[in-house]
Amino acid sequence: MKALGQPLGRRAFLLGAGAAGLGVACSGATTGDVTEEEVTGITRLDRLAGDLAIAALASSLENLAVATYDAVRKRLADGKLEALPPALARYVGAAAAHHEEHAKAWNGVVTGAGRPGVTGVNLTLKTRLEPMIVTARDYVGVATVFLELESITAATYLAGIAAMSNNAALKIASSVHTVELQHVAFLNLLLDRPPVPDSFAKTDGARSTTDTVG
Amino acid sequence: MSLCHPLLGRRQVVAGAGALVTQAVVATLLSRRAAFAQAGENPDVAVLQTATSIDNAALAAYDAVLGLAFVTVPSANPLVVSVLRAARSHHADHVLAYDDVLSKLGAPPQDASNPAVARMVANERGGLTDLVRALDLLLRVETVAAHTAQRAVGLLDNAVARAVSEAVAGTEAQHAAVLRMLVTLVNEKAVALLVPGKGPFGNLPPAAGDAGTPEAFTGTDEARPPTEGAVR
Repeated sequence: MKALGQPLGRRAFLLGAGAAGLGVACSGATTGDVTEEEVTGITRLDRLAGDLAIAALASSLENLAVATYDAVRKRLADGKLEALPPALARYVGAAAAHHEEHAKAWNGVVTGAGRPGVTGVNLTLKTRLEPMIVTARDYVGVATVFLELESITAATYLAGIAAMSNNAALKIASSVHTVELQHVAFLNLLLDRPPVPDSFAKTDGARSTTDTVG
Repeated sequence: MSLCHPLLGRRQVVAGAGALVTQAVVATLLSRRAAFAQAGENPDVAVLQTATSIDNAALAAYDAVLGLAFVTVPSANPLVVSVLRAARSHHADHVLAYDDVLSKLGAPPQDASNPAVARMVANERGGLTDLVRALDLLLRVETVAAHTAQRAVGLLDNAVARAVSEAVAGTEAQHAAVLRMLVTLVNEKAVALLVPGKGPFGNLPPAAGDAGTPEAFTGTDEARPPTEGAVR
């Protein structure tokens, strides 16, 4: 049997790499400065608790996805990248629109809980992707960036689902996780890789609530 | 009522911005849990057995398609055959994973196929005269599997069961996406472009770019009832 890896525990997901304290689901207890957040939007994920922190992390990743697809479109428009083949160009339009909807859904969760929205992108992941975007010269390079982005976002959703306790947030996460994985399947097919390589979706590379947003 | 209302438990509805759970679904969930409480059963067991029954049916569906003459013939597209074989093996792994969780819950495995999915496959089997029909049948099976696994995530109490269900839902959703892409490629007379090892495939027709993911959010409309596959 192909082994299903142990699900990333709630504590591990929320703590990430070394942050202190375990948030209680929807306790509403934060140590953040609301006034500062009202100006900048949420930037400190580790100041949020439980499912709200996961929702804000998801928002930051979706915002990054929108920004990444936009960055590639801009490089195309500026002539810094050769034209995308028709199937990939069609994919970019569809995927970018999906991520805009995902970002709206997650920000709706965050603002519905009485917090300012997440207007920034996940800077931790952006740091990894940006050099890849800048050095990509053809559609293979671009598709590889997208594959990295979509795979990590999907992994984060799966890890988040293991940690969530609120049913409404779970339903959003589940309905978005599958879409990101479908994006992965197309990109794998385009790149002549097995489109569905694994029996089970994975949490490898999942981001955590210690990521920075801005 | 915000997400952080002190009275909110995991299975209660969150009203307000972003909420997706309708009152009707909540009523169904609460009545189902009440019924199980009366029977003294763990509700997770029936949900997991139903999921297993669908994967069992999916195995039979893939076996049927993989045995078709136009799939077994040497001229069949090797990438398509490889995708179908991989999907079959994934479903076998899903059954084992569900069996494992059920065993840990002290419940029996489900060895039978989901009756509704099995009926669908049986009804269509004689009409699988070309690749598109075969892929379309598998797409319908995968859609049921994905939707059922996705819905199960919101129904399961056990954290491991929930993680397995979502990990399975993700793979089934990918299977569905790939099948939609393959149907598009066959209809566009472009499936011959997929030659393993000769990629990347930058020359796919435009429709292949968004055929796999027609929606921003996957739904659960085709989910089977959560107790349909319970071992009786």
